[in-house]
Amino acid sequence: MSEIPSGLHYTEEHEYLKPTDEDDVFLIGITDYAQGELGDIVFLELPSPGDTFARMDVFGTIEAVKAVSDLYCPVAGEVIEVNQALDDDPALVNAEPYGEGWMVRLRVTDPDELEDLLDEEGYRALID
Amino acid sequence: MELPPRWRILRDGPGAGAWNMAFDEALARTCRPGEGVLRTYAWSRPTLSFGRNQRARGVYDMESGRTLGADMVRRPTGGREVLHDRELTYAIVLPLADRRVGAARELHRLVGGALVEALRALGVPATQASDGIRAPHPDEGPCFGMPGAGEVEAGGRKVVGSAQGRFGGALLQHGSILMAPSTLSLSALRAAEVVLQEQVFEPPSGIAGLLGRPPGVSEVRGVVEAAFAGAFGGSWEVGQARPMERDAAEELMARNRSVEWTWRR
Repeated sequence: MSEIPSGLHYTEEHEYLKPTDEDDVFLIGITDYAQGELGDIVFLELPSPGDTFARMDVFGTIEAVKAVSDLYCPVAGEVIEVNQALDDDPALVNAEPYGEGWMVRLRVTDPDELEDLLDEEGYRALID
Repeated sequence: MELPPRWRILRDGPGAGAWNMAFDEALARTCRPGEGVLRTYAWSRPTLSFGRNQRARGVYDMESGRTLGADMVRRPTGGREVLHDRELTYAIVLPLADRRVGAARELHRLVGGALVEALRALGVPATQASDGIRAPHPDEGPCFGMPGAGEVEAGGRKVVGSAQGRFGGALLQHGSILMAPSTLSLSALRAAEVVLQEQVFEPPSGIAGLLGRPPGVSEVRGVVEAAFAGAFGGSWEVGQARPMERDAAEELMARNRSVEWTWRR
């Protein structure tokens, strides 16, 4: 059974946005379900701080078991921090998808876009 | 995984490395709902392909490739380096009917099973590697150096090396069915400082070594097509590339020929 914490926003592309202490700033990563389905994650290509993305722009790639997939920015925003720990240890995404395995810290441009995302129950219905 | 009901078979001859990679990616980027594609092809000269994310700079030497008459290209898919030469390469592209993440692994296992059947039909005692093997990092050495979970082995060595990429609503898996060892050695293409540090990589002998005779391309292509059709079901027909697929591949050629892309890491 995949872990789906409450209080987070989720996307149909199996990403999450986790609120931080700062208004309109979220941690983005992939869900526990997604990491389990992908398998051993061996490489992440992530953007740089200051990069800006429109909703559904490709912001990086993830490689798991020789399969490369794009990562989509769930809402428009500016990257303000990238999780450097994933350079050396991409398997953190497998081990702690909602914790140390976060990928980027994003300042959301239009908070209204969050309303289109899924909550815990909506995401559970998607993967069940 | 929901499989498409129709499949188109493309039989291509030897092509340049940049084109072969561009065309595989183009097939995925222009993939239509309800139709999968199986393409088989070869290489016009020895070509070293790097995985999408592996490190090539400082590990391989661009100049040695030119001197020895080998191309070097970057794949759009993951995994580690492969020296393509005396092989038949397959590419399978299928549309994804839903947003499930696990389709890539399902496809990998399905293709692995089909390839085992194909090689057994030739007389090669092939098996699929077990699931318990940890996925290697893209910088962990040649693709044919170690088997991954679900990959195809025979005689204690890997005989097919495969990689995948997801492009929007389509999945691409392509891989090398090793017919015989390359006339080149990987170490001849390495950067000088790396050659001194690593153990010598002994290439597997491929199907020829296991059969005791060199297999014909049409013979291998025939068993591969039959095995894929058996594993994936649906209706299969030999077809041609479409203009939009060729156009999409042409658009990718500038990137694939560029130093910035091939030597991006």
